[in-house]
Amino acid sequence: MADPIAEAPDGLPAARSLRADEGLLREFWLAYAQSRGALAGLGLIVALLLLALFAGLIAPHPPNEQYRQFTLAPPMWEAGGTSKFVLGTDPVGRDMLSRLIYGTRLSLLIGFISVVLSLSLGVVLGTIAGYARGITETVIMRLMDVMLALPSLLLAIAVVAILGPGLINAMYAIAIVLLPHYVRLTRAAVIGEAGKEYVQSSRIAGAGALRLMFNAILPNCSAPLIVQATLGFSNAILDAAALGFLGLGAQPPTPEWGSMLAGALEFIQRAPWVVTFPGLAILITVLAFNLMGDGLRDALDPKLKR
Amino acid sequence: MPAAPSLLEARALSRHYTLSRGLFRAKGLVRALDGVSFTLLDGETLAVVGESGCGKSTLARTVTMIERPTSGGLRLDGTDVVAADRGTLKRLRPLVQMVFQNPYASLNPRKKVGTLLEEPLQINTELDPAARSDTARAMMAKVGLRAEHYHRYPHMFSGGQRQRIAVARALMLHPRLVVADEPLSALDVSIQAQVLNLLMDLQRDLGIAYLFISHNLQVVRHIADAVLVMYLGKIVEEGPKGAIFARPAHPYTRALLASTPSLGAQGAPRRQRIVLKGELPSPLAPPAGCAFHTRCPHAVDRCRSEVPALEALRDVRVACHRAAELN
Amino acid sequence: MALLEIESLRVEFGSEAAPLIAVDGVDLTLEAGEVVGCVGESGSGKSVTALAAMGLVEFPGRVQAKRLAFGGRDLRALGDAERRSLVGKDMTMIFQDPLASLNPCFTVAFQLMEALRVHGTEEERASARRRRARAIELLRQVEIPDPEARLAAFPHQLSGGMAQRVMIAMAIACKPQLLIADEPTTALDVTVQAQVLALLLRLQREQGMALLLITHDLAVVAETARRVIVMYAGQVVETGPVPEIFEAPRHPYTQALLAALPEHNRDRERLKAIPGVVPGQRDRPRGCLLHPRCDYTVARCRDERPALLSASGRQARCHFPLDAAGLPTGGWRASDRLAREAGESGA
Repeated sequence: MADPIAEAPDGLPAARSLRADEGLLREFWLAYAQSRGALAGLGLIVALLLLALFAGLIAPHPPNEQYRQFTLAPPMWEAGGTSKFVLGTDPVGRDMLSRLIYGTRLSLLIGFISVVLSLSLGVVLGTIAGYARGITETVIMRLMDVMLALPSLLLAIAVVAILGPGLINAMYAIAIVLLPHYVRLTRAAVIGEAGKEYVQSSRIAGAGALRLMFNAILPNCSAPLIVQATLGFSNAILDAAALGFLGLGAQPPTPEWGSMLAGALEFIQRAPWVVTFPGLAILITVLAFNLMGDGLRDALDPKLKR
Repeated sequence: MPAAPSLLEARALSRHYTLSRGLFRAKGLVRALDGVSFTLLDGETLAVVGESGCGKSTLARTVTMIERPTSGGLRLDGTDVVAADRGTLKRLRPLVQMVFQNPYASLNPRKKVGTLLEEPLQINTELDPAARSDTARAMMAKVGLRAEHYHRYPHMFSGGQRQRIAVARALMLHPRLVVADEPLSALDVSIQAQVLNLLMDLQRDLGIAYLFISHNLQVVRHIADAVLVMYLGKIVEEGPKGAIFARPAHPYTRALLASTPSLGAQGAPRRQRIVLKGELPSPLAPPAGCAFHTRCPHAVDRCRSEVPALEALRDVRVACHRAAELN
Repeated sequence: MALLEIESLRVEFGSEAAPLIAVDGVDLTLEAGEVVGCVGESGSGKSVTALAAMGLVEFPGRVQAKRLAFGGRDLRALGDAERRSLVGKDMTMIFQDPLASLNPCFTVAFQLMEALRVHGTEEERASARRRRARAIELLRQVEIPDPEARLAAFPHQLSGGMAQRVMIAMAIACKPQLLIADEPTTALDVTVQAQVLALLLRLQREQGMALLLITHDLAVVAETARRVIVMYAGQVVETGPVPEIFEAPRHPYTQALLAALPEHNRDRERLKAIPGVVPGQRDRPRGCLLHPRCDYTVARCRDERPALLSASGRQARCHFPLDAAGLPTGGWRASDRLAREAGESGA
C-alpha cells in the first residue's frame, strides 16, 4: 500500500505528494526549478565554472602575453579593432578576453576559498554559541559584534595591511570579514532548533553535547546557511575586486578583475572598454550568485513553499 | 524477605525555576514541581493527569534525567538519580526512555528511519553496524512498520506511523520504563486506537512500565493501573484507577471527570456538568493555601490559608481539607 | 429556504492533471438557528469545506460547486466588496489555535474595535467611544473577568481559553446569523474546553444564530449538536440526528469510529481499532473510499462508488447501510466478504 501524504497538522494537505522513492534532493530540485531567475543564475554559474575549468582551451591568447604592437586596441566591432582581439587589449597589449576568462578562475577560487574558510569557522563558533548559551555565547557574540562594528572594507584593508598584499592574504581577509555573519546566522538557527523535541529525544537516548550540536542540530540549520554561503560568494568576489582595485589583493600581472579595473582607470575616457568589460564581468558573476541564492532560499524555506 | 526496589521512586520531588523579570524587579519563582511523591513498579502503568501548568511536562523531564530536580529524591531501580555523577547517569540512561506528544517534531527531519532507530544503539552499545541494523529492522516489524520504511525520511509518514517510529526508537535500548507524554493527543481518533493497542501489546510482551501523561481521561481509564492527578505542581489525588474513576475524592478530579465529554450510556449525552469558574492561576503567582481554592465550589476559610497535605482516605490519597466530609 | 446551502462542492489543490481532491462532492444545508456538528479526521475535508463556504480558499485551490448560497444569495456571484460585507458580519468563523488567529502586534481592543469599525452599526462605525463601550460589553458577554483591563492586553498575555473567548467576541460582534467553529476547543485544557463549549451554546441560544461545530471529537459533538455530519476522505458519509446517529449508526465508518473509542471498549483490553489509514492522494481507492478498511467490504464496494442514500431523515453513503442492530442491509451476505488488504498498522 502506498504511503499517504504527510499532512500538515492543520488538516490541509501538503501541496506536494511524494512517491515512495523520491528523496529530499528531488523535492528540492522541483521547488528550485520553479523560479526562472534561479535557473538563469544556475545556468550562468555553470557557464562560469566551465570557463574557469577550460580556460586554457577557450582563451585565444595567454593572459599575460603582451602584444606591443596592439596596445589599447579597441574591441572587434569598433573602428580599429581586429578579430584577433575580440574585446580589445589593455594598456600593455594583453588580450582582454583571455584575461577575463582566466580571471574567472581567480574570482571563483577567491569566492570559494573565502567562503569555505569563513563558513567552517563561523559554523563551529555559531553552533557552540547557540548551544552552550551563557558566558560562552556572550564572549563569542560580543567578539563578532566588534568585528561587525568595523566597516567591512576597512577591516579587510587592515588585515591585508598586517599580512601583506597578495591574493592568498586577500582571501584570509575576506574570510575574516564574512565570519560574523555566519556566526550570527548559525547561532540563531541553532537556538531555534535546540528547543525542539527531536533534540530532547536524542538527549534522552544518551547523546552528548558534541553529538547533539553537530549531528542532530546542525544538519537542520543548513537551509539559511546554504543561502548565505551562496550570497557570501558574491560578497567575496566584490570584496576581492575592491581589494584588487586598491592594489592590496592580486598583484600584477595576475588577471584578477578588480586589479584590471585599477590599472585601467586613467584610460576611462580614451579606451572605455578596458574598464567596462572587467566591471561587466564582476556584475554578471555577482548577479548570477545572487539569483541562485534567492532561488535557494525560496526552495529551502518551508514557509514559502507554493 | 526484602522487597525488590520499585522501578521508580519519587520523594518530595521539586523542580523550581527562577525567572528574571527585568533589572530592577525581584526574580519570579515558578514551582513547576512541588513536593511530588509516588512509586512505580515494573510493568505498571501510572497515569499522570492534569492541565496546563500542572507540572506533568516537568515531571517527564525530571524522570528522564534531562533536568536535575531542585530538591527531593528520585530513585531509579534503587539508584539515586539526584546526586548521581555523569557515569551513573550514563549507566541509567537505557532504563528510561520517552515518547513525545508531537510526532511531527520528535523525529529528526534530516535522518532516515534506520538511522533514527540505530542512534540509541550507536551511543550506548558496542554493536557493529550489521547487528544494529538487524536490531532496528526487528523493532520496526514489531511496531508494524514495513522493511522498506528503513530508508525513508520522517516527512514521508503519517502522524500515526511517525508515532510508531518514535515508540520503536524508545524501545531500542530495552528500557524498563517509558515516559509517554501525551502520545496520542496529536493523532486522529482512529489512529489513537491503533497506537494505544500497540502500546498495550508492547507492555504485555516486554513488561515495560509506563508513566503515561495524558489529559484524555477516557484513554487513561483504559490503560492505567493507577492515576496521579496534579494541579499547579502538586499531587491533589492519587490512587488505583478504579477508585479514582468511581469515587473521585478531590473536587478538581470530580471537575475533570465531569468536564470530559462523553457519549454517555444509551446515548443520553447531556449530563450535569461541573463547569469550573475562572482560569488556571499563573504559576508565577499561585494562590495561597490550597492552590485550587480560587475555583473550588467547596472552598472555606481554611482552604485560603492552609496548604492541605496528601493524606490517605480509604484507598486513595487526597490533598483536600474537606475530603472526608465531602465523601 | 436554508441559511447555508452547499451542493456538490468540490475543492482541489495542486496541478490540474493530478489534482489533490480535498473536498469531493459535498452537500450540506444548515437551517437558521441550528446547531450542527461536522465530524471527521484529518483529510476528511471538513475544514476545507468551511473555508470554501467563507470564500477563504486561496489560489492554488480551486472551488467548484453546483450551489453555494448563504441566505439565498449566491456566494460565488458576489463581488469582493459584497463578499466582505457578508463574510465577517453575517457569517463568521473561529479557528483552532486562538493565539495564532489573533494578530500579535495589536491589542485586544484594537482587534475587537476593528471588526466593529468595518461591520458595525452606523453609530459604531462613527464613534470610537461607542465601539469601546460595545467592546467591553462583548467581553462581558463572553465571560471575561475585568474586561476594561483586558482591553489593553496583547494576545500573548492571554491564556488559551481567554484568547479563544476574545475570538468568539470578535465573531459575535456583529450578531452573525452563522458561526462556524473549526476545532475551537482542541487546543484547550479540558476544563476550559467545557467552559468554552458552554459559552458557545449559550450565545447560540441567546442570539439565535446557527452554529456549525467542526471537530474530530465525537463526544463533544454528542453533547452539543442536534444534527451530525460525518465526513471521510473529502466526502459526506453519514448525516443524522443526535442521539440516534450514535445509538444506531447507519454507516460502517461511524460505527467503526464509535467502536474504537476507549469508552466503548471497557470490557476488553485491546481497542477495536480501524485498520489502515485515511487514503492519501496517490491511493484514492476505486469504488467506496472506505472499502480497504471496512469490515463489511464485498465486491460491489470495491468496484462501485456508493451514492448518498436518504432514508427517514438520515443519509448514508453506503451500498449496504446498517440497520438498528448494526448489521448491513440491502442483500449483504457475510460469505461475500473480501479478504482485507491492509493490516492494522496501515502497513
